[in-house]
Amino acid sequence: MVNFVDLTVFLAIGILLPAAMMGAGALLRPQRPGKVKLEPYECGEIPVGDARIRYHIRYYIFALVFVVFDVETVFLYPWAVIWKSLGLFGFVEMMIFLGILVIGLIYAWKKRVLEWI
Amino acid sequence: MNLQLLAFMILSLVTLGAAFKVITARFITHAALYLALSFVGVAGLFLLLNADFLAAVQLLVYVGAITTMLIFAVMLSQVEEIRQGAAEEGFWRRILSARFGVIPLAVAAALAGVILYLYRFANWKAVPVAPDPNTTRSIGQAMFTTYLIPFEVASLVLLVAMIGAIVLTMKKEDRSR
Repeated sequence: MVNFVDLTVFLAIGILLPAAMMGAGALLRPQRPGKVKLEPYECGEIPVGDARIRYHIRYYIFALVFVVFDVETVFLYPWAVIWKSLGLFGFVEMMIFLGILVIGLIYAWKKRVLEWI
Repeated sequence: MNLQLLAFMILSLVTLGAAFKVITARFITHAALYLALSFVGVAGLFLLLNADFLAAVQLLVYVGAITTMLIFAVMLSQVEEIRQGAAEEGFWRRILSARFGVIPLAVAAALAGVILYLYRFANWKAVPVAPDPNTTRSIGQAMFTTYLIPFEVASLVLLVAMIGAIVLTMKKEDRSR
């Protein structure tokens, strides 16, 4: 049985710490908002147009590749837990599983979808 | 009030509150982020049920993958059309207007009716079973012995999905390289 008290404490600190930091900042700093200050930051450039534009389909492939490897991670969890008791057999099993997915990565690499143009 | 009930109530509140914000948010990107928060709440509810592996899968697949796909779908669509209506009128005026509100309200009422009917009259066979102390270990044990072949086939399915995505999104001139 996993001890969820640790998790709750961790979660509480994770929420409280940034809230306290931002709250303290809001109380201490002078409040002088201006038109220039409220502009979105675009590396020093003056922002042009709306942020909600239609993006190029090319970005979608990064999302799809991420999703595939995300699902792969799901399978890694139970494997990592019983890895020692499975021995060499389990290791070979997972290497086959990962190897098949690496073929996909090599395919993406060869098709140059990972390159920025 | 015991601690478990308190945790359940907080998590339910987060889940339902975020789900409510999904349908009332002004911008569809905000709705997608609230949906992610709602999924996190559901993951917490799974943890309360001692289903820790399911909670991890919920976080990885729903919060990670599904939300990413949704946000990308929004980024790739013509958002001007979506933004008209929602941003200008606001949720409550839309839901009360005859043009947008009637059908969703009717569908929601029908769904709520079915759920309440099931909750009240369905014949639940409650068998008291002690929760598995370590679900991830049991799942791993089954996956790497009994269900070894389906596990390896899953990697092939993922490979097909990846290659299919590459083939579909690449333009013709890109593909020739």
